[in-house]
Amino acid sequence: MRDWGDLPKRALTASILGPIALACVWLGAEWWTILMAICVTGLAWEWVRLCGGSTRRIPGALVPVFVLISGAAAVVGQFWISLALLAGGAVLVHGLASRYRNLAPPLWFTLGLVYIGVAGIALIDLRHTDIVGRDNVLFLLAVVWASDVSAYAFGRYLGGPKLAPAISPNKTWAGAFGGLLGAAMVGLGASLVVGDPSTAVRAIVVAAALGIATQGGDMFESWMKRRFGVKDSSGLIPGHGGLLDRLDGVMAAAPLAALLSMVSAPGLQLWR
Amino acid sequence: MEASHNSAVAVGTAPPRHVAVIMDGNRRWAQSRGLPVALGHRAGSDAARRTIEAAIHAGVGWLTLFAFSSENWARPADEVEEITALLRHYLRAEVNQLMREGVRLRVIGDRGRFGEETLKAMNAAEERTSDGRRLNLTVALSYGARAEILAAARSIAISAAEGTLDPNELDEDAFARRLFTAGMPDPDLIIRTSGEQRISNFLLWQAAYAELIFLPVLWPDFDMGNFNAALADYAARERRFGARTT
Repeated sequence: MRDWGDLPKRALTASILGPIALACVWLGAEWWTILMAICVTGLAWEWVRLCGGSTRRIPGALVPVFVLISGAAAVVGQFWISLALLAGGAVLVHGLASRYRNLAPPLWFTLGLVYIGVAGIALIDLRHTDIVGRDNVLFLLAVVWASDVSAYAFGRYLGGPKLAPAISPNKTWAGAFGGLLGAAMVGLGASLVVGDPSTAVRAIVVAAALGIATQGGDMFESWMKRRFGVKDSSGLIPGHGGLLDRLDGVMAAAPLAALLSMVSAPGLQLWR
Repeated sequence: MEASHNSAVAVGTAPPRHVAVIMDGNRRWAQSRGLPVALGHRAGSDAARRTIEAAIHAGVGWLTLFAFSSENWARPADEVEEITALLRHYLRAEVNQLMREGVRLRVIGDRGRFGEETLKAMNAAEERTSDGRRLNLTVALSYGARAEILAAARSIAISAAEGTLDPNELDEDAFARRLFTAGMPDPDLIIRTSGEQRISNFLLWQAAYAELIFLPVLWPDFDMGNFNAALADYAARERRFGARTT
């Protein structure tokens, strides 16, 4: 983890980008779509660079292209077509990337395409659900941010034994517990304040599951950066490194949120 | 290694004035992860950045990094091309950071071999960082110590033939002033990573009394902890420069 010295810069950047994200959720699906298009393009660019490729050349160029067109299909409500486009893109990128031996193994490119694409589709799909879309995206963001902030605070103040030093040397059990607690509190808060207190247990379980996915995404991204020997995914966001560094949690939690929304509570708030 | 606990000579608190590093292991690092060699070099350049920060942090005044030897030209053409491209990228991208940190960059070696564009980037980077006072960073590129010594000997022979130098007057200091490293202190500590225990034609003249530390870590994994551990190891050694201490 970073020094305390980075904290003011982190806080400042978060206080600008956080409200922008919230405003886009609030203003409507169109604004959210624009923000998602920017995010997945940036994420694809970072991922391709991390794998030693370039988005100005094949196969790297195809990663943002397929992520964007599958996202576009999700915007017009063609959920299954968007997934099919992503699968087709994955096959194509894998085939093309196999020809270049100065790049990371083709599986890495394919994984990036699928990971970013699925997260993008999930976030669009969540927001585009009538009426509850806004609520569910706000809930997801609240869980992820609460998880990140409380994991950071618990890890910093308590320290203690490491969670998985081989994957991410600075993560502690205290931080993991704190993150889970923070996420669960959002579930409890949502059910007490804007929900039905009788379903509080369900809300806590949903929020905790999203919190675990958030930490899983964070862990995966740490592991990937270690694998490639880089510290930040890029320098796009002052104090936070790159988009991948900042959105790692939400990328992993969004598909789970979309799945939960689809399977257990279509058209309902996630915490009810 | 000698027992050092009973000696007081140069043991202790001050960091070495000049640390030189043979950055070895990028290729093996990449291969062990199933990654292309180019990504090993990229991760290696990140390690170089960490080492610069570690040197500044430790108060080391001179840091020399052996980036590319004159023998490395024998590597596959695409690898050489990738290293050169990476080098150009870093020369451009890192200069502002070096200036901010007060780092003065110098390049030693046969810099002309990298081509016109890279040469320009090297000269510009040296020029722009020439006010740096906190750390003297020397990067050895297309460097070979025998060629360096030979070039110095040749220039001396030419001066002698022209009658501007009396061979009897030539001493070690005068010879050293004809090396790439003229004006630089000799390295006190040379670190080589990746477990190889050779000096590989690096600073042969200058390393006469350098302490050598060989670390098993592959270069892309090298970090501030490794650097500080090497400094601690160095501090515990007894440096006698050929003299007796008792």
